[in-house]
Amino acid sequence: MTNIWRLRDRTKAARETGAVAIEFALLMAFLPLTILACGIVDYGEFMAQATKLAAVVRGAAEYARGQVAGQIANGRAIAPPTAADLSNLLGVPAEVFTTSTYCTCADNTRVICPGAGARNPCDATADKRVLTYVVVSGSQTYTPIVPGIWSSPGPVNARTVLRAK
Amino acid sequence: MGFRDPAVSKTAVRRAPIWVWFWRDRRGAVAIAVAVLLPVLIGFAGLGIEVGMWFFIQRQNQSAADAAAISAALEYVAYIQNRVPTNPAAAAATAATTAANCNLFSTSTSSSNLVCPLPSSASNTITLYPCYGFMVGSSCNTSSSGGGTTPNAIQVVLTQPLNTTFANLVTAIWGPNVNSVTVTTTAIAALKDSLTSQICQTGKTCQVYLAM
Repeated sequence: MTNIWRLRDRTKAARETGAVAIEFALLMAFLPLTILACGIVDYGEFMAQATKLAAVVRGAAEYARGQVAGQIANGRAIAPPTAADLSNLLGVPAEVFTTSTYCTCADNTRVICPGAGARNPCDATADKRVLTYVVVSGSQTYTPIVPGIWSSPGPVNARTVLRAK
Repeated sequence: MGFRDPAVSKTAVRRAPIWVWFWRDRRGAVAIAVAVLLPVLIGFAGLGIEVGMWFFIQRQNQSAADAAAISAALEYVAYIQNRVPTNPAAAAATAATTAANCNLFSTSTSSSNLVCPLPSSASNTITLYPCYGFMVGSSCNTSSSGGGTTPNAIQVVLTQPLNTTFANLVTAIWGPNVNSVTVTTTAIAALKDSLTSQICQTGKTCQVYLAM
């Protein structure tokens, strides 16, 4: 072991051994700080939240598609699951979700979705089918761990559109 | 001529120039080493972010691929049940493109799409493979020779080339630089009789299920 009280008695080179290690140790305290301050950690957190939201919205969209497909098959009125339904199903706050449906004819023109027993709005087209789509959107706000010029609170959005019929 | 002759010592103890002093000074050497290595550190951090971005894009494209496969398979269901799209392969290709566009995957034809307009991207591709005799867990058999006359599943493959920045720099250190990667996403939607889970046939109520 080095007796630090006897350092004066040693040569200059011997006194300076380990100085680099100490300098590096001091710098190591600042390197994580730069990673935090430059928003790298926030970027990773933002991407993680965006990926989670995308996965949740995907799952919700698949559930909604199954429900709407069932309603169409049974001749009932089209009603996508509400945000509250999805919240109960997935354990995510209801204000995250918005659900909607829209319809087109086979030639991609937008039409109003016909209710149960209503006239087919695509009767005039060659292909008389009405294509029904289910939209599930998710929206959250990302709050950065280190707010600063690199990272400020911002929206995280995800949207999945699946065709039910 | 003694050791302490002022005339001699004046020349012998002359201060070395400042750059020599700077070079000999050992203080703060690590700070300089870190400053030199900082581009390398930033390069690898950037590489991490870039690779993360590829996987995030793949995650997004997976939704588009699934939606495209479902839409394409629904066209085949309509064809099998009612013979309504007379050319199911063409109708499925259009339907798949529409669905992919609505899930933020742009293709070269998206400018003509009326439902979800997106800026078109000529380098992105969307390819459909009808699968014959498909079973969950197996791969898509695109030859109709052994597995029936109509496909029972549709495979959709999306490809999106991405230009690289940090990966380009880092791979250039040891070999040929990677200046582009292709994010490939695959989805299969199976057509089934919704009551018996058997093959979808004319006169049955069929549904579409994601198979992977």
